[in-house]
Amino acid sequence: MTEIDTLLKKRISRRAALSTGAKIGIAAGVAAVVAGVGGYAAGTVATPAKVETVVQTVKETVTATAKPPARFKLFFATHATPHPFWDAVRKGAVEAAELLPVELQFPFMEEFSGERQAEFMRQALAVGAHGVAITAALPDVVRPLTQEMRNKGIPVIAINTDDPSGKTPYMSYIGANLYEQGREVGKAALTYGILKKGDNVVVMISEPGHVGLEARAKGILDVMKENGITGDKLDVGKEFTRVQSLIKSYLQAHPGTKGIFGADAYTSGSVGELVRLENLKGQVVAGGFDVHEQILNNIRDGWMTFTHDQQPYAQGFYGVVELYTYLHAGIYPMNINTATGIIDKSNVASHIDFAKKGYRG
Amino acid sequence: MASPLFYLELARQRIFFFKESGALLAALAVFIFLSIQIPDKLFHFRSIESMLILLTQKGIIAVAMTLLIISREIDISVGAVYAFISTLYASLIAHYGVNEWVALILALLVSLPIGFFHGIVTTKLRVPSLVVTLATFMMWRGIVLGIWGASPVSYGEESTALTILGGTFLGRAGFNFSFIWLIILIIIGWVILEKTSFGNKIYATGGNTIAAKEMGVDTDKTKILLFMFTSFAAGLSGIIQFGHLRLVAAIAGEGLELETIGATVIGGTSLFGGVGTVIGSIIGGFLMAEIQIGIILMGISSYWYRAIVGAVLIVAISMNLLVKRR
Repeated sequence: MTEIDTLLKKRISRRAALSTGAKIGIAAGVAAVVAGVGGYAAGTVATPAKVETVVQTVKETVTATAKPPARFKLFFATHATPHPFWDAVRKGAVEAAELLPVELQFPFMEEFSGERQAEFMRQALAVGAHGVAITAALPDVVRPLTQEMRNKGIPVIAINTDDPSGKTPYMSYIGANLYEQGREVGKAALTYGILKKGDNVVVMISEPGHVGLEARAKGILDVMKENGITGDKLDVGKEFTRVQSLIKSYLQAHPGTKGIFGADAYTSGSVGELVRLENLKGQVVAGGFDVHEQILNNIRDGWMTFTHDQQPYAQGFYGVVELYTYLHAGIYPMNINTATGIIDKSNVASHIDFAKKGYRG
Repeated sequence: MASPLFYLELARQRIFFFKESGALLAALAVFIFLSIQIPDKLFHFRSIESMLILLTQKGIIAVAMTLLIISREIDISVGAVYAFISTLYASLIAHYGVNEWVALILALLVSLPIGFFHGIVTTKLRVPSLVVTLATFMMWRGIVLGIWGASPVSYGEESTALTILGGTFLGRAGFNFSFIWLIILIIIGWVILEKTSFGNKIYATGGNTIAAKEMGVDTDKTKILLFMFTSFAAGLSGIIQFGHLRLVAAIAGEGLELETIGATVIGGTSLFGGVGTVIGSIIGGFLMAEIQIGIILMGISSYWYRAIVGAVLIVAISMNLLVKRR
């Protein structure tokens, strides 16, 4: 249903329609400005973040708070674990929170756990958060609590990982289209002159069941299949020794493997180390996702071929901004695709300094 | 002339005489199965090396864990101590330029008071070791994150010391040195448990603490020393793996506590204390490693690993109980 359809159905006055239309126009404009400022702050040297200015159907009335609090309480109830990637997301959120009258809570969990994320979401309800950002890595876990928050009038947005089914009622998604990101990595891998028809690839996953990582792996493997290349997903966990031993055995069992990919920041960090330890430089395409310092150094030194960037800092920064602008000015949250593209040896240098400063992950 | 049934019974009794029989039979069964299914892949140098690296990582800790569990205590902080000590070691040489051997001594010295702390709180304050080490499981990894952050610490310089600790001699065709350290630890653990009076004290402490005390065994001291040995082994395993990978991060050793305890239990060590052997735990660790690698070599989805290990755990424990009852 389009915005006009909604307005007609509600039979609202011309003035009200103009007012709502103006809000959406302002929303699109603000998103563009915010994206530009955020992209600059994030140190985006490559392509700026794509801002999807698709007008969304406003499904509920924005009601102005009678007496807004001096500072809005925002809670990021995500599946964030200790890693440079999530450090960058939190840095973005913290720096945005410092610019705005908001109090931010952004806890990390020890390891990927749906139960822990649900606990964070219940904690957000308990502390009376005015706005909440979630990740939908385990949609069935976050869906009922998201619905409960929405029923209570709490705005909820998703960052980093969306629910592909579209059933989780968050208001917007800030992050990469993870299946498309996987396809882009697959397509990029074919351009380095190593992979050919009949070869094999392997995609390492550290968190099996994480819908975003499964989507990325599927994206890569779909492109390979379309080009006559076979491939497997491999659950390797995060622990380096285990990753290295398992992938070494896989390569021995599948000698035709010419592509090794990490589906996430953890396994992508291990890809370069594996190429180094097994002395596979130039023999395989070694790709992955995200841009923390270890990955960038490996690309610079030739141990890794390329990575795909999704700008985690932007996910945290815009997450805070979107919740604040909704609470403060009724600006409906918008989808933002934070993925920018491929980083390889040709453009890696410009990203390393920002990674050292914690803006990349 | 005795009947064939007599010889069958005799063979059964001899097989089940050893405490490690259950784990050994399971490991042999899996090995024979893999030998038939994928002989060319299994008997490849790289496969064996991969198994041995996985075995070494958990085996070194399992040696000490076996002794500790026999004394009726447990340490679930080993994965976190592994991360803490190996990151400390990496930081000393990478950030502060400390000589690799000096750093090894310093880092391992730090591991001892960690174990001492676990032991003192457990024995003197009477807090169950499961609770104490659950708390420090979070604490030590948290300290790693607090001090060094989530980014890995790496060391790319040439180093003979690191090669001796966990590197590979003769390039790719060579053999990973870390396995030698496991053998040394196995010998130490076996000698302590089977050939010294301290070994008898360990069995006595875990078998019946009150009776052991009445016989003059200082059970608290025994346990404290074993906690120290366990932290030491966890730290050493972490440093050896750093020697191998030249990289360590806060995530290092994640899940190692369960794998180590799993290997120990599969190997016939009773969680109720008083029973167990070092060799059994190593066989248990080998069984886990061969399943982990075997699944990949056979082309089975690695998503099945946890389910298969769980099933093997139940079978091995049942076999051990069967052996014990007979």
